[in-house]
This record gives sequence, C-alpha cells and structure tokens, in this order.
Amino acid sequence: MRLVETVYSSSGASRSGGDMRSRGCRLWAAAALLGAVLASGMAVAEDPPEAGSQATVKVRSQHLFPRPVFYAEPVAELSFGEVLTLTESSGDWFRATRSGGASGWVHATALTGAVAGDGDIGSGSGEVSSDEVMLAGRGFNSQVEDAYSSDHPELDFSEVDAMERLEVTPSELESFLAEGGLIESTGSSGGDSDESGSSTSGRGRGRS
Amino acid sequence: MVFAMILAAALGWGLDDLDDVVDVVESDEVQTAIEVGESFHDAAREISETEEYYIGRAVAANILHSYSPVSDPDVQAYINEVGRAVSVYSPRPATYGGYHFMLLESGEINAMACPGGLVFVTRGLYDLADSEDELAAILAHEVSHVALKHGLRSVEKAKWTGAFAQLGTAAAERYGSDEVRELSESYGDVVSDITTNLVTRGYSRASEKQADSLAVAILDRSGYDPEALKSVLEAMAAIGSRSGPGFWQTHPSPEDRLDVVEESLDACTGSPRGMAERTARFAERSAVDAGAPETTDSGSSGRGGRSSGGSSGGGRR
Repeated sequence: MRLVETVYSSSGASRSGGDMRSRGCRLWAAAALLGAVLASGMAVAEDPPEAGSQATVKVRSQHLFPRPVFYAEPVAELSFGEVLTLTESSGDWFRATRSGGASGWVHATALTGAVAGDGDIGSGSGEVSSDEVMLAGRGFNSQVEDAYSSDHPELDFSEVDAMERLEVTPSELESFLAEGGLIESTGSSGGDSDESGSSTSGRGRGRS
Repeated sequence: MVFAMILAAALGWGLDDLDDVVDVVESDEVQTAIEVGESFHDAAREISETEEYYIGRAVAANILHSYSPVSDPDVQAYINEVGRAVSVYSPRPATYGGYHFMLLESGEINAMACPGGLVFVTRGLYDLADSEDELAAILAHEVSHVALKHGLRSVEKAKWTGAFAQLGTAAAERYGSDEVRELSESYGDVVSDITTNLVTRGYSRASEKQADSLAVAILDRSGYDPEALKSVLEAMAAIGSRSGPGFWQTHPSPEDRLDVVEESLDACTGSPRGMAERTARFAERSAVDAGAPETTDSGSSGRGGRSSGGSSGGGRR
C-alpha cells in the first residue's frame, strides 16, 4: 500500500524551518500527522508524485510558481491532466518542467503520480486507483451532476458556479498578506530564499 | 504505540519526532476513522478528487437552496482573501476546484464546509468575530474540515458501499442512461447525508475536536493569532440563549471546545504581528454596503450582533 495524499504535507512540514524541536513545529507536525492518519482511513493506494518521475496535474486550476509559495507571481498556469516532469522536491513542493520547457514550483497536493491511460478501468478487476478513475473522467462526474440536477430542478447550480468564481489570484494574495503583516513585504516575487524548504511558508515566524 | 511506529516508518519520520503525537494517533477517534475508511478499501478505491468536488457542488447547491448569499461583493471578496490566507497553510492547500468562501445572509450562527472546499459562513457567525484574526479562526476551522475530509467521512458506510458498487469499473467512456440514473441516485444519497450532517446534525465531537486542533496549527503557521480561536469561542460561550437551528445543533458547546483549544494553544509560542492593521482592515471591509439587504436579526458591528443574533434562525430562504 502506498501512502496517503497528506503525507507530503506531513513530511514537508517536518522539514519546514529545520527545527523540529520547537513546539510550534511540533504542534504543526502533530496536526499534520493527524490529518495523514485520518486521511489514511479513507485514502490509501494513491499515486503520490515523486521527484525524477512524471506527474499529472489533478486539480482544475493551478500555477507554476517561481518559488515554493502560493503567493508569488506565477510562471505559468497549469491545466487539469497536464503531465509534468518533476526534477526535485523541497518540502511539500516539486520543481516541475512542462513539455514546452517552462519550469517552476508546484505543490504536491495538486499532483498525482498517475498518468492517464496507465490504469485499466475497463478490466473490472477493482485494482484501480481513484486518480486513474479521475483521469479517465469516471465516477461521480458532470454527467451524474446533470442527471441529479434534472431530478432536482429546485436546485440552482448556477449559484454554485458563481461561488466558484470568487477567486483570489496569487498577486492579490501576496498584497493581502503583506498589507496584513502576514508576510514581509518584499515588493518582488523573487526573493525569500529562506522559504524554499517550507510548505507555503509565511515569514518564518520565530519560535522560542 | 505500534500504530505510531508503523506510521513513523511510513512517513519517514524518526520516532523522536513523534513523542508528542503518539496520544493523538492512538486515540479512539483515529481508530474510528480507519474503520470508516474500510468501506473504501472494501470498495477497491477511495473517492477521487473530482468525485469529492462534484459531491461538494451538490451539497453547496442544497445549502444555497436554503440560504441566500450576502449581496455585497466587497465583503465576499474579503472573506475569500482571509480564507485563502489560511487555506494555503492547511495540509491540503490544493483541491480539484479550490477553496471558495461565501457569506450567507442569515442571523443563524453557523458555518458549513462542503467536500472539496466550498465553505459557507452565516452573517450571524461573521458578526460574532471582532477582528480579522477571529474571522481567520472561524475559516481555519472550516478549512480543517475540508482538509480532513470530515464531510465524506460523515456518510453512512452503507451508502458508500452502494455507490462504489456502481463506480469506476465499467468500460464505456460515457455512462449509459441506466448507469447514470443509478449513479445519480447514489450521488443523491451521499449528498443528502452530508447536507443533513452539515445543516442539522453536525459532525462528530471527535471531528470538531480535530478541526479545532488543526485550526490552531493553521493559524499559528499563517501568522494569524491562534488565540483568536479561543476568543471567538469565548464570545460564543457568552451567548445566553442557545436554541434554534445552526451552530447550537451542529457543534459541541463552546465550553467543551475551549478545553481542546487551550490544550493546542499550549504548544504555540509565536507572537503575531500586524494585528492592529488587520483589525482595522476587518472593520473597514466588514462595513455593510448601503445597497445590500440586511437581515432583521443580526448586527454588522462585531460583537454588537452577539446578543441579538445568537439564537436566531432568521435568514433562511
């Protein structure tokens, strides 16, 4: 059995800041491990991405970032199903290269090690991962939602669509965090090299 | 302890790093979670990211059938900025559809996290917050429910078994009409279960404890003040009348939750900065748009709404 999806977060968090002796880190580690344990109750036999291998973007919208944080001006926008080559990892993040050559950092939870066509969902053997099912467009999908919506005309899915349009772009997030004192205001997306080993690390708040 | 050792090996952690978490992983709640997960094992696979997304959309559609969004786009933008500021520090910052937050025009004190990342907060609960950090605490708790997949976990095992009997193994690229009909029924069963749990029944006490503990960790990591979760719970605890729908039905008492939060806070040693700026921003961004409809039973000025909005069920469609 392979590991659960939140494992990347757990292991990354354990390296974050390099000080597992601080209680703040230990608190995070405990919570992250709890998440991993709980997810393990639901999600085993997944396909975690690995450095040196290919991985597939498993979320609808994601970016390649110039450094491993969510609030930097993106290098490129990624699409669901896009296959990337992972060259190195740092905490919860992977440095990835697109087929066109652009490279940057992407968070592990946006990726799966599964690649479309690898799973044999037609075999009926039951030995298929959820990610393989997902990449094949199977399971509860838009077709099923449409049928459910037809059976429940009182529900207005356009309101859900409107909710999903409530987005915060990476640059908006950076401004918001800086204005609120949640990150140091650098005036640039290229600095903060001390954050490269952390997962969405903020300003690296000191712990005694 | 054996379980913790297995986990440590699996995660690549040293046991030295685990002495604080052994109690957590040996807890009854975790074992229960694993038992629930066995239904997924029995069904050969777990729910996928996209399936979680589509389940969450239908749960959200059901919630929006009962509640109206606040019409002020500025406050909706603000709650999304605060929500994003905490969700990127969760163990699961990326989901298929992403995190999206919506303020509902209701005097109820309630918040609901749909699978996949659609999170609702009522005006009654929002008004209970006195600062951006307290709003962040509320949202961090809901994000934790998403990250820990509590919505999916709350579904009865039998309904998953029925759903997975039909999912994922057929060869056709698109489902036939009979398959779609059967899948839609299973989908509806799962959606109905989660919606009922979110709106009226609530998650288990264990799930709420986990979400509070993780919320403290997220706040600690994000730069927000983890003590804000304590202060917003204290505000809830000060409410005298606890009848009506919403929070009082779906969550443990704030007094019980404070015990858990206090324990988690003991592990935090950070000293948040910028709180004054954030609190000023909260006051500015939370101001009611003159053109937006107001509920009759909830205030819009922080703790001023606490006494009147605490037990109200007003605002549902």
